[in-house]
Amino acid sequence: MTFKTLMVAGTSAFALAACGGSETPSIEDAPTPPVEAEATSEAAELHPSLVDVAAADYSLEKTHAFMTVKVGHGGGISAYRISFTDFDGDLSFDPADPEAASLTFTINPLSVETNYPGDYKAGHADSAWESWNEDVARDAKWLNADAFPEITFVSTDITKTGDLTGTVTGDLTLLGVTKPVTLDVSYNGLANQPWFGERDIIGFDASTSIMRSEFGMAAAIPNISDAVDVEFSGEFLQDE
Amino acid sequence: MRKYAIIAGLMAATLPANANPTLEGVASGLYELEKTHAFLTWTVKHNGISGYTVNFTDFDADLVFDAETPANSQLAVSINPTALNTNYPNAEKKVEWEAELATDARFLNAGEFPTISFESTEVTQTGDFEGTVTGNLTFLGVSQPVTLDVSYGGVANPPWFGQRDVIGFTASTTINRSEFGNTSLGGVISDEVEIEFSGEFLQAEE
Repeated sequence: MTFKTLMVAGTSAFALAACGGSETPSIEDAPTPPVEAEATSEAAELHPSLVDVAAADYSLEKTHAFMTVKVGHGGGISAYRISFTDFDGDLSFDPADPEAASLTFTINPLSVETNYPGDYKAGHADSAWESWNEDVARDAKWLNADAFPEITFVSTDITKTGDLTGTVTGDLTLLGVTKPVTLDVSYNGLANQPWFGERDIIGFDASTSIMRSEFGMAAAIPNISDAVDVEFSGEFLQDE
Repeated sequence: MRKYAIIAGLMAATLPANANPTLEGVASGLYELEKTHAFLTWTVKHNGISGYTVNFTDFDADLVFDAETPANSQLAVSINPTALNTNYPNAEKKVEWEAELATDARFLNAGEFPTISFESTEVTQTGDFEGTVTGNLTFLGVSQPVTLDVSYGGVANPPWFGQRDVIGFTASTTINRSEFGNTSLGGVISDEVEIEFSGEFLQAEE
């Protein structure tokens, strides 16, 4: 939390109290230098859960961040769930102007986790790969990670759709193909942990659905769906 | 038995998405979980600002399925609480964290309660392919009724299973962990635990 946001938060709390608090201070009690009046009018438009949030650069708090993809299996009779366990994110965020934010994600495709049970090689002796995770990560018909070692998303346009919701459109680069993708995002709030001092932690959910064939991955359609649902829930920590 | 060509339909945006599930021709009888296509996760809110999702990686289920009258079906699930995947992003700490989560008395306390189980008591059909499955969930030694919202996703017949049907389902519910005596870290970790399953059941061999 910066001094500036503390000040904005303080004046905003006053503004809220002045609107409807039970112990409304009279206007004569309030210190009203012009600079604070300006801050108040700006902060008053913020949702309460955004008021104390620092405008700053944030980085993914990797111990509280989950990225999963789901595809339909067997012609859509069940959802097959895969997690990415190594990915990073950078977020530049101003609570007063969320549409000016920028977001990037970088995902290591070698980090897929399928939670395959048992001995993969026992049932797949002909596979070129040691595990199903490795097959999904490295096989040319799947994520082909040796040729394309990063999956990236770089935001290009952010639109607020509600007080705490919005869309984040950006360029997704998967298998060397770059296409625009729009994430539906919700802001979940602010936390502060003593071990992170004054640094803010903000949480988000995001989801989208892509067609993998648009990125050149067409294997096993329709037994495995072309549509891929992508889900994120996690936290971003204000940079030091 | 049905053919892929019959059930493969257009995909919608939310998965799984079999556009034309059918119960016609589906065998009634005992099905067992097809463990290579089965996912069971639980999600708690962390500090109220993000969802923390953990996979159970060792669980089994038996389904006695009545395709004519799905409400007559029965489901029994058994979960090994020591088999967790938190996807914690540091390999060494991941092992420690998952062991703590599995065995610490504040969490799943698996040394004392080595199995989490669910036994259905009542199945109600609420739509063509939807229903609720109420049963007794035994967790931390406490049994409480829990109701799952269930969707049937359809039938598949991969050639390597011969004539045996494979049927898919999704199921979800939300429990309050405090009702099972687990209240640790109440201010940080939500009481509500969202549980999600998606997976397939394979017709048992005669």
